[in-house]
Amino acid sequence: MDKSLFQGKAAQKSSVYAGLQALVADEFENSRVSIRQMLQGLGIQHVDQTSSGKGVVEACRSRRYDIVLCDFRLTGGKNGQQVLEELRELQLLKPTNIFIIVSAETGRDVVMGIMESQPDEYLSKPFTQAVLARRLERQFLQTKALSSMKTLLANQKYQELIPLCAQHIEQQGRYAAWCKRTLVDAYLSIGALQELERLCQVELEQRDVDWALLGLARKYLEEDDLANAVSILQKVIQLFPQTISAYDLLASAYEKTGRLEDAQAVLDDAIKISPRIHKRQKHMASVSLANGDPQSALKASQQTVRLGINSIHENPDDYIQLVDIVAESASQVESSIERKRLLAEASQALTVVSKRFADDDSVKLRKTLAESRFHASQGQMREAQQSLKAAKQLASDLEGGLPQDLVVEYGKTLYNAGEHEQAETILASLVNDQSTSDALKQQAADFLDEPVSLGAKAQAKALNKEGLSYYSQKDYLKAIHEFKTALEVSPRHPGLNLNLVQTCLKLMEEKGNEPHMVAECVQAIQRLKHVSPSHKQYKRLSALKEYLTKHYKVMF
Amino acid sequence: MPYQSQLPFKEVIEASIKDMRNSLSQVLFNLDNTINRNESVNKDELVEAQYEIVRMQNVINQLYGLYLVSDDHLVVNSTDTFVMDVVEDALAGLDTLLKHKTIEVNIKGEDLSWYLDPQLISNVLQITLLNALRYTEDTIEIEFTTSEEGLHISVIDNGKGYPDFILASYEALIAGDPVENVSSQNAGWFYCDKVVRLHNNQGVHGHTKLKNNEGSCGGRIDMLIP
Repeated sequence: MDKSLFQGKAAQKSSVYAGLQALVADEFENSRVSIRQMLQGLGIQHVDQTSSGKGVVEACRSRRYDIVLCDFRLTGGKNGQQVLEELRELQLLKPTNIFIIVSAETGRDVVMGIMESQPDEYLSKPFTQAVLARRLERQFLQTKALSSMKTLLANQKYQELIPLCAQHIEQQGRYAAWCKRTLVDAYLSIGALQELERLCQVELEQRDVDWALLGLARKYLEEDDLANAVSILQKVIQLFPQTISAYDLLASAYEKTGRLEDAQAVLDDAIKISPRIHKRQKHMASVSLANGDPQSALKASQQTVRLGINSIHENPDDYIQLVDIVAESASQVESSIERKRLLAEASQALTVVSKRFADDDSVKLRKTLAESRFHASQGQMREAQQSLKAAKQLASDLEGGLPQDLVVEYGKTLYNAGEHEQAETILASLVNDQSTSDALKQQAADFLDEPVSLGAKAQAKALNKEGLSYYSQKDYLKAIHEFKTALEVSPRHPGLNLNLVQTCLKLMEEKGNEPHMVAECVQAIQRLKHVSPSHKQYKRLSALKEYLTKHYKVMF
Repeated sequence: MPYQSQLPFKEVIEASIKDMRNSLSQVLFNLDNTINRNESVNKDELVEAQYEIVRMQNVINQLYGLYLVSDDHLVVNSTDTFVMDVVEDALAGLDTLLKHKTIEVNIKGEDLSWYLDPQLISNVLQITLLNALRYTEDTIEIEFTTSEEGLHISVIDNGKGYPDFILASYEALIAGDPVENVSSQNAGWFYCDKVVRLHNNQGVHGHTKLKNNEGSCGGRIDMLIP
């Protein structure tokens, strides 16, 4: 092959391109004009242009473009990645349309974010007309060859898609790699796990390849075989550290096995590589919250809100979560300027959420509840009560009363506003209600266990860790001291209370009966009235209670 | 506030490169237009200018790549790729240049697919092609084949070949010796070798070799991607 062959291609293709419609989006006019001229030079007669993300969405609403060339940087807030996600969500792109993101960006965060949104092509600036011609030609050839498969995929018709992919692979078609990756998703969707495993294993005998390893890991996750999933995902990350979805999957697998700190560490690595992904930051916020790490939770929650703005991911949950995290962690911020800024950010979030979701009554209720919690956390009890009163009114106005999924938020708000008994009653009845989902039960139980601020939780957690370390060194006196200090900040925590009881019992085993220590145990057990039979510490509680009754003649 | 945290240098580099790339886009586009549409201008001068711009574009990529290497942040994003596509991408960037210089480029290779990072390898090919362009008499050969070891890609020119001391310094460079007399050329080679080396399969890493061609007496660079 000599160079003249492909140099002539652009001219030959002009008849093919003639009837096509293209859209060029770029914040700079000169850039729009030059790309437009390049496209026209290739024979595309109809080329529209716009500078903003909103412009792209509107243009695609009124016309089906065969090609969209969209820069990452656009005017008006939305970037190219957000535009692509929105077009897909609104189904304004046919599977055979070609969406190309153009960018002069170098930063890995931006480039990784773009790649994760999976445009058909990514063109890095500067490029010549010849380069553009080649990429377009390649895309058209691919689209032509795969159009029926892409359409079936978009319509989730996997049963029909699978044989077509298999046939293309068997005939050693040019797009066999695409077909194999697509088969992984298709097999997973219909639960054909054996076929999935075979496909991946055959590939891995040939060479290490990210999608085949990921396919195997996803199969294990599907089967709930978390140990195997974890070990494969660790291997993917070691071999292909840029395979970002492996980090997300590994974090979820760790989370399922209760390894929350490992989950947070993996998400932290993923965020270092590709921070501009809404669901990843959201995941980080929830994992670090569960870990009692308010600083990380705050950072991730702020990013979640920022990434949501101008995108399809914007969600009232994100704003309300941010308000709660700020409310509970602001007191720990040392610099008063920084603290003021944070509090202002939370107020701003409350304003924005009620504006953005003005038509949604349940959001209005949630916002008012969050407002009450926010005031309560800052010691503004009168304002907290006022908001709570308004929230109660809003809840009674809702059709069907307070929705079950808002009961936890409501209970928390009552508790923080000082209405402890009512809060406990409402949350306990949620926990004991058969129809409540497990996730919601867990949330309610977690709150009843530790109705204290994030900062207090973190403090209690650190002290508990210290106490456990002394316990394992058999230094029971020091362990008891740590547990008791922790209980001052988080008195209802079942694990902490039971650790204290167990350590006191150990010490008395060595040193003999001590009445004040028995009293200590009784008080600890009495602090755990909220632990119901479904609680994961219930067994341990019952066992220790029984032991106390039997050996120390205590009555409960 | 310390200088570093007030103005993070990584972001300065990224922002500046973005700016340069946007500007180069415009210059390249205008030059391309002038060369292709204007019959009356002195094309040799414009082509020379274009060569320099393509070089600058590559130096920018190389500079940023090396910056990432120094930070251990350069990552390979491999995907199944047709080698011919990567070769043609690298050549397409040099399109007008090749048209006007009387240099023939011959590609010898089958239409095969390999698991590699198309952006980075295309980048590497462009660097080696620009280098070959500088030294060749009138022909550049690009060859690619596969063997048990992996994918072999070679860029061969028919110039006078490299003097022994350059070949020796290349050997030292890939052996990990500190580079003396840093130039854009040896920095480019260093980058190419790094990118190839970052490609690995089942525990085997890629490697490169610079030597003189036995047949045409020009220079050649061989790359193996496992």
